[in-house]
Amino acid sequence: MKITTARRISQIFFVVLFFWFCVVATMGTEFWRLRGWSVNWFLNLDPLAAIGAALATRTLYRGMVWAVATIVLTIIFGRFFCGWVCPFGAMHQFFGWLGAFGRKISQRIERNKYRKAQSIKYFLLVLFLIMAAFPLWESVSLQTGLLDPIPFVYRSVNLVLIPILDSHTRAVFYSSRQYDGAWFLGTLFLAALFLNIWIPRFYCRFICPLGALLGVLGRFSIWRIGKTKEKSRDCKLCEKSCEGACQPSGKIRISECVLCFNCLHICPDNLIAWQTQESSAGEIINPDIGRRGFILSAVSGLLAVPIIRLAGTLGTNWHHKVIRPPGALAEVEFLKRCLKCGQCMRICPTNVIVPSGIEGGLENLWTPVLNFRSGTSGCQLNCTACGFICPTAAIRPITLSEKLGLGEFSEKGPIRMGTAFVDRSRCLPWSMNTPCIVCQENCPMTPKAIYLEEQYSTVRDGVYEAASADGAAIRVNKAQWKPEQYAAGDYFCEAGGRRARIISNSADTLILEEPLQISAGDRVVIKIHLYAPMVDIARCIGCGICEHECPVSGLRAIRVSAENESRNRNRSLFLKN
Amino acid sequence: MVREAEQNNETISRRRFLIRMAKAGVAVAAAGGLGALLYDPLGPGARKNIAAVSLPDFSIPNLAPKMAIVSGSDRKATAQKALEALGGIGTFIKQGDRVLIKVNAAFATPPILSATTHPDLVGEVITLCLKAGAAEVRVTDNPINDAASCFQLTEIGRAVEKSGGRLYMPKESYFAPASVNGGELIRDWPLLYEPFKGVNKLIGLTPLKDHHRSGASMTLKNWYGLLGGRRNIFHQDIHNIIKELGMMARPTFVILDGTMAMMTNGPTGGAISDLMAANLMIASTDPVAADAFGATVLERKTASLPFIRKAAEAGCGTADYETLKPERLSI
Amino acid sequence: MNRETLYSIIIIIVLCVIAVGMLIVQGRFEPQDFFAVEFQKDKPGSQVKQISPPDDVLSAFAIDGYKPMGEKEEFNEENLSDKINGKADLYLECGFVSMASRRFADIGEPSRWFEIYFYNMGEPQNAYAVYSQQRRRERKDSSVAPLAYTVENAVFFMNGKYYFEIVSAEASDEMVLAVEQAAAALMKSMPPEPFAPRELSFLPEENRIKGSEKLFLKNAFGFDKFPPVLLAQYNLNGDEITVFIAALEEDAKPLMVEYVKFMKEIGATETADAIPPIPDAVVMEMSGETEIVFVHGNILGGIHAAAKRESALALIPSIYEKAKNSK
Repeated sequence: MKITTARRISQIFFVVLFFWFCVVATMGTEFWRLRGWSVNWFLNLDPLAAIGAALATRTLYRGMVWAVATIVLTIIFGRFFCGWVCPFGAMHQFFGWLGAFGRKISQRIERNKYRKAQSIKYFLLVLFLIMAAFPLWESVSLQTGLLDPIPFVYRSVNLVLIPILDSHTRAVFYSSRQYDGAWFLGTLFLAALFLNIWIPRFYCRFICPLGALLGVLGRFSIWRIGKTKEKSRDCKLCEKSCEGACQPSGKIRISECVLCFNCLHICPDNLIAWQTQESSAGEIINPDIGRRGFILSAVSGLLAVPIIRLAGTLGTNWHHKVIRPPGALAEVEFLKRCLKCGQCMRICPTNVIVPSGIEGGLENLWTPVLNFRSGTSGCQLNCTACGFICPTAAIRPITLSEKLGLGEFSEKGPIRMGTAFVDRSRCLPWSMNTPCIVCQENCPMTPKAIYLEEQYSTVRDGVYEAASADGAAIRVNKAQWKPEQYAAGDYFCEAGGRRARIISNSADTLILEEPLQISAGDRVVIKIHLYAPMVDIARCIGCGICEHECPVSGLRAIRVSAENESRNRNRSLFLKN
Repeated sequence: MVREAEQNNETISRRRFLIRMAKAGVAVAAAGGLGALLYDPLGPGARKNIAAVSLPDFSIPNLAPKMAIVSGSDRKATAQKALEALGGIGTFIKQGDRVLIKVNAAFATPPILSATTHPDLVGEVITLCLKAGAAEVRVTDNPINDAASCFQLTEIGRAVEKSGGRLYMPKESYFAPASVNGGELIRDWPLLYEPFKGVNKLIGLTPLKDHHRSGASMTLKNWYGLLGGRRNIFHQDIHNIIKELGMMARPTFVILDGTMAMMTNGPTGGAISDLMAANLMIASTDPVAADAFGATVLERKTASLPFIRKAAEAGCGTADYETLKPERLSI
Repeated sequence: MNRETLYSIIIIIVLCVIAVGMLIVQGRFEPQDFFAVEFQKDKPGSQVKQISPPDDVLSAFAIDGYKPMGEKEEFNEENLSDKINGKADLYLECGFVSMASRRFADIGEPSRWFEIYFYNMGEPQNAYAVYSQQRRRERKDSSVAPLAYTVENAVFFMNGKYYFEIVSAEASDEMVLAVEQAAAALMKSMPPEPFAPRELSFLPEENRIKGSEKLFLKNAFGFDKFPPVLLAQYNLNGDEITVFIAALEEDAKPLMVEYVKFMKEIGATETADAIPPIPDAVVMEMSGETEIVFVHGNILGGIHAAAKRESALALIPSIYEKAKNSK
């Protein structure tokens, strides 16, 4: 068997495994639902995520310790991960292979030649790691996830590809999914894939900071591709399908080689081998960035976080719509951990967690926020799925007792994500004399965090002069009502300081439930009986079910914003706590 | 000359390889060491990690399984006789033993409803254990809902006090995460562990009852009351959880009280007419056998109670109780 | 074998190990982590289950000569099993909304106490299901409510969507009187709402044992496709026979086909020798007992686990006739 066959099997295996993880990450009891699946495994194996988070937090959380295995194997073998394991890499390779059709051998060789721009990924790597490692008066920020291929492919497939493919089958999700800014994720995903038609493994060669990291880690690799003789006929056939564009025909660039082994058998003189010796034609070990380049990107990294944070998004200018899932760490700590992988958005059973845009600061891009307008409901009271799936504990795993403030957590109270605010200018009972208690009915807290204030409010043009009264029937002057206009049971007639329910009306006569003492000329007022919702900030946890259900469906009349969230004390609305 | 140069080249190349190897080795060691150093299995703000506990085997080693069935209506007399038939309480309880009795005090209901272990039986067994020289006899159960009124209204609390036992009312701090070897459901699940500390004998005292969800509630199901947490989710897989309870707790012996067997509307009953005076007291070192016999009293087929078969297959005992040659006595 | 093939095979073995590892991880299901989630299968907007506190009758409830023991307790579908353990499923399967309970003790003699269980089942049909399924054989009819009976130590009754149990700690005529008084006092707080299941009108009265009806809202006989099914006992010359009936929205024929298939899957055989005395019927045998099922339009009925086949065949025509004639 050729080693390239084994490589293809391996790539297919990991792509299938990856898609399987994407499919099964739905809560449920069937075998294809999330049971014990280690759906985060590729994220766990990702050394860029692990090193980034380890630099930022000085810890390696749970499964992230898997990355040590990747690192060790990379030190021994080089960038095997890129060529053999990475599902995104395999997709790039597939599209690159499609792009090779109809091209002459010389053109193919041209496509796979080393390009100076391949050093861009090292600049990006240095930039991101410095941002994660050295605070320079600001706290660190983990932004590797923006371009790290593993989170990239997770969020692209989970939040864009599967929702589209599943939109009519409903095999993966129980209901249709909505993700803010999916167009952007989708555009980047397609661009990354389609650029391979032009240059194979475009993303891997030019952009991928993980590839760059692995290239650096593999500098001492024990076995490596190389030539067994310095001189050859220079036919460059070995570069025809070279995935890494690492120029095996000349001085091979070890940090670019992804171990695709396509050069091994193609050499007409059999001059290429996988061996412990260095290539007879010489090697280039160091990435092509030079000291100047390194310093420039390091300085950029040092300054990037303070520059981004000049917007004040971690201070008083924090954005009220950055409502994080339950169990999310305080914002500063959260930004040290979040990979933007989208797993929490994938697993959320109600689809209330969506990727953020940049409104809460550039660092916020693609981090999880709650959008109560999307999905099937608000954050479910009895659900803690996001914290369990989060690979980095940016949303830490919480028990139900902790979420609901029961048992040993009863002193702390439930975890609050924000607070609901009634917009009295839009609320039907508050501003439009229309009965509605939907938000109160749907509040899941016990006792409810939304309570009702009973009101009797005068209807439009509702003041009349009594013409005559006959028991419970009252005729008024100058009225032209529609028959039964006030018969809904919510309307009352007020006169002489007393009030009675209207049970029927004609054009100018009201029929009351019980008679009122009225004589001709008395002032008669028609009132509507309303319950106006009020929020008890001591009880509201910001689950957003009220906002989701509010019948004022455009700009909701009750909206949650992140004030009073438990995770950032300085956003509290209480004096204590 | 050329050969010498080649050899020279080879030596250099070999040296460079060895240096590279050494560097790779250092890098691997550094990666592994840092990984181990930074490893954080719990994450920020998580509760403290308490090592999972498991229960030891409380059965008497090298004792052939035995079972006795005594008919009669006086619980004290039948229980005493049944234990005599097993070889006497002295077979099980030695001088200085610390004994834990797991009763069923799941409901705050009066003894006449037989939904809970009868106080007479609890008192008698405690007395016997103390007479046999036990240093301490503890009694516990986790009824979840208002344990104090459960122990009070079932009159078990008073019986324990009168006979010199010690009642362990469940508290949050009494629980520790426990796992069952080979179990799939009980993994790091809160177990009422505090009463087990220092104990070397375990006795189960159980009323014989119908059970809406599992078909019957007998000696194996009795261990359910040792679990804490949101244990009602286990009702989704009731037969396997009963099997795992059998795997978790290997008692010294169990007593299944069929004096008034609850035939219908279990496990709470509510009406005297739900009960039948079966007048049987079953003592057994094998809880599966006791349950299999209990099923016949409830007029159930063993096949309709899958947990009996599952527990037997898991090695908790035998469903074919006749192989124990149970002694049948009456008062 | 050359080195390249060897390496390839080793790599493929590693991949197989990974695949097996994933399967093992799948087996290590940790319900504690994930079962907290309410699965969201329904249409948007409707899945917010409300946990409303039980109707507040018990807080103010008082009866002469008795004083409350402790506070009122309230239970929802999450914690009902804390109170009644394994029986919670019976209620949960029948649309349980909430339950409140409170104990009362004799002022002079505190050991004489009773406990009121007050279930809100959401719908009268649900209340009837839990009432009828638990109806004790040995009982005395009681007049405290439209559907009520007493036993030696308790009274059980339902009214509208509510189901009540008042259970005493002592079995005596005096305590039965006390719990009946408590029941009557409770009934004063609500108008009497008699209830009879719709299916009852499709069953003939002749030979039916009074009060033997049991309503199963789903899963009757373990068959999960059944709609609500009413069971009743008939006494035909000393033989007790279980009759069942269900009324569907649509033609019941396909359901009968499914039911027969289900019965065969669990071991029933269609009997060749017994010709059913009515059209559209199937006679089966299972473990020596006779099973009959028939349809007429929207109605599906039959006989379950009859010990004597001749009695079953003798009874079934009257059941069929009634079903046919009561549209």
